[in-house]
Amino acid sequence: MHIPDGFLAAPVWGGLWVVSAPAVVAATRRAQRDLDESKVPLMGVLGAFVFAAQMVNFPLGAGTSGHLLGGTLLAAALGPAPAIVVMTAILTLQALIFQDGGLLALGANLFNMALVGTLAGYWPWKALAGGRFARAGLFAGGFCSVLVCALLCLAELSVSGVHFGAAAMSLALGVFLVNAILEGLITVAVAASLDSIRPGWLKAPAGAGQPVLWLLLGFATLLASAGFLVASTHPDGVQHLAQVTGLASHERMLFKAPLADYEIALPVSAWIRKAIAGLSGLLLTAAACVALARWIGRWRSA
Amino acid sequence: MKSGTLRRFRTLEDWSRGGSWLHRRDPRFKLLSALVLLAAIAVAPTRSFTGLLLASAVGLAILFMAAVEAGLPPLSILARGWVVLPFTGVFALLAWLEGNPHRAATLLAKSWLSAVTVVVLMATTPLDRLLAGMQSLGVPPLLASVVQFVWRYLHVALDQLRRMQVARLARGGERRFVFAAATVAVLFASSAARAERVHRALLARGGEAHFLLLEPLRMRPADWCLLGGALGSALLLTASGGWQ
Amino acid sequence: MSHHQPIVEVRGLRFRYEDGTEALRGVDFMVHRGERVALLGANGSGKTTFLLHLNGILRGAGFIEVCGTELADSSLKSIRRKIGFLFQDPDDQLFLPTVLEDVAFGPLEHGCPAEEAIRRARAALERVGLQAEAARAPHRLSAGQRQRVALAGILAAEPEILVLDEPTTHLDPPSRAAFLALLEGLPQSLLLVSHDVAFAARLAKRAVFFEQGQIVADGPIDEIVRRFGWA
Repeated sequence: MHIPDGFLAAPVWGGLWVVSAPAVVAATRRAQRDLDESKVPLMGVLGAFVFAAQMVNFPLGAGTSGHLLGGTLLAAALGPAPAIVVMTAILTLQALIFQDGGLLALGANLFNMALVGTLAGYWPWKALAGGRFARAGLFAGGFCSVLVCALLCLAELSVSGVHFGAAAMSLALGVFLVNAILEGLITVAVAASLDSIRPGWLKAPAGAGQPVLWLLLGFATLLASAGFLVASTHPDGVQHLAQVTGLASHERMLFKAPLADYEIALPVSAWIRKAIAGLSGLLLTAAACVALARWIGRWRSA
Repeated sequence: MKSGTLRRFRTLEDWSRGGSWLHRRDPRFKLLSALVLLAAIAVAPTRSFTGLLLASAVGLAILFMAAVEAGLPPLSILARGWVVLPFTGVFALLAWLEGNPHRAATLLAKSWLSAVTVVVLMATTPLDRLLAGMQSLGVPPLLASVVQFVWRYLHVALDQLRRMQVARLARGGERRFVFAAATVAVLFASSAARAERVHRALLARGGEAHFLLLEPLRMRPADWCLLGGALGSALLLTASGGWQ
Repeated sequence: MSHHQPIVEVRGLRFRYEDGTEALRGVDFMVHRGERVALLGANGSGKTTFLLHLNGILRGAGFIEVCGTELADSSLKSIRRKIGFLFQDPDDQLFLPTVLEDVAFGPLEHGCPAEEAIRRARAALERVGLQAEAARAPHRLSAGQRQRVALAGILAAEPEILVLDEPTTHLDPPSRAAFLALLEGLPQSLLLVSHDVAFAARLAKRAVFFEQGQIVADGPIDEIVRRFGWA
């Protein structure tokens, strides 16, 4: 899932850098506050652990094997902000030293795996930690983090013009679904083993509980990523939806304007349409989920 | 487990400590030059086959010359670009099967050239200097420190992993899912304990883990020449790609 | 400071872990300048825990005085400068990208300007015979070499006391002999925890024996070894 350079369209990798860079800086600042002075060795050594663990083969039978991504474990052990910093460090090293993922595409890879992926892995854990369903929380976290990464990755490739036939898309989604289940299982298995070595290492975060809210947030991220993917592969469908809801007129103004003033010879119109569609899909779904979450929060505290 | 991988990257580390003109350039300028080149490769409009060939040739020539200047074996450097093959290969194959061989070739060429560019960057810049350069360009110090630490202790973790796997095999254990999970758990616990010990060692030596560079970064006119050269090459590459 | 004043004095040191286990039950200990003392005892008897109190990494109840200064929050930094602590696993100590940087870390931390720190680092590396490896990354060195680099790192900070926690665990016999030769030539006071009794006896004439968080014997090392069957 590390996207190399040469795949993503310039606005996609550029735009995702614009999003990821400040987010990582914010997470770093938050991490500085969250952990005490032993933070750097702890983050570094656990980061090295996850990096190494990513290379371990988990045999699935018939000669295949799966691998751990580790975002959920990191988030459970360190908290979300430090986990984001550590995942960023790992992805940066993978891009620089192993050329696993491009440098221009690093912004996108950070967005998928270090930012959204880690948070999508953290929220289900936070929702269920400390209760009877803590293991389910870890599974859900692992599952969501990998699935969300995969959906975002496919969506970004799609918006950049990589064409997925129906067969290819189903195959990819199938493989990613299996990986996601695997991540959940591995995360739970590792946590269980860890419990017998060092009971209480993965503690529930402060203020855990309110499972509905955090679960909803996790679900929202999943849904939003799926929405992004669907929208980016079916731009016409979204346009139809936009027309129906009256947003279409705005959209038409949006992409007539730049084309009217500039004679651009690049194939702008095709991907602009896809990008706008993808983004609208993402924003619509995200907005709906946030609104729902707010409503539920208000309802519960009432 | 990829045991040969780390060996390959010891070579990269050794290469990075050379003394050529390119090695001596300020890491910030090397990073920016690499990014300029990467951007050119990414946006070069290679719609015709001739354009694609020309742009690839130009890219190849630039990277070949850079490797030679830096005293590195050019063919080895170029060969390392093929790490992108697993990911790119799949999409190239898909594109070819869909009847678009031009797109397949474009994907292969662009991702390969991009990977080689990064290899040249890392083969002429030690990681700690690159991180110091990035820090001076705005990367938060905590993040740079964590990257250093992860790299430093990755080798330790992989060593331990290898020893555990050998020990397990020697006891007759086969490769099984639960064993892998147990191994990872032990590695986690051991890493956490190690982190505590590293922290104590740091305390004993009186300090926080900031990474002080002994040789400060210094901008020289030659660095601007490098950047200029990179920009020129980038324009050449983009222009040649547009050749009909 | 007169020769008669101890360089380390500990009185009534007690320490309890978070889970309630008592690790140290009233330890009294005194070392004079230039002395070398071996700390012997079974695993878990409190030797390492005791050492970690001397530079304030662990804080227990009781009186600790190092080089005439009482251990307190305000004196931590200056005391840590005076104690050179070598940990059992050099990988826990060498965290910087190159050998030279790691050895220079100590002097830099204590306020030396960069050139002076580098000079001291190179001198320390020469002392341990590793000046050729100054630009290498620590993970490229053998265990014995890493242990020597860690020692150089401590020596570069010019401590008054050396505290070594099982320094020969990962060393093969030739490295152990080389390490011994190095240590024999150093002028600092020395506190050594080691299960390698032969190694300890070559360095220290005096030993203390730890048992369940207390010092139960203090005397010539041959006597202690004989009395407790510790060979």
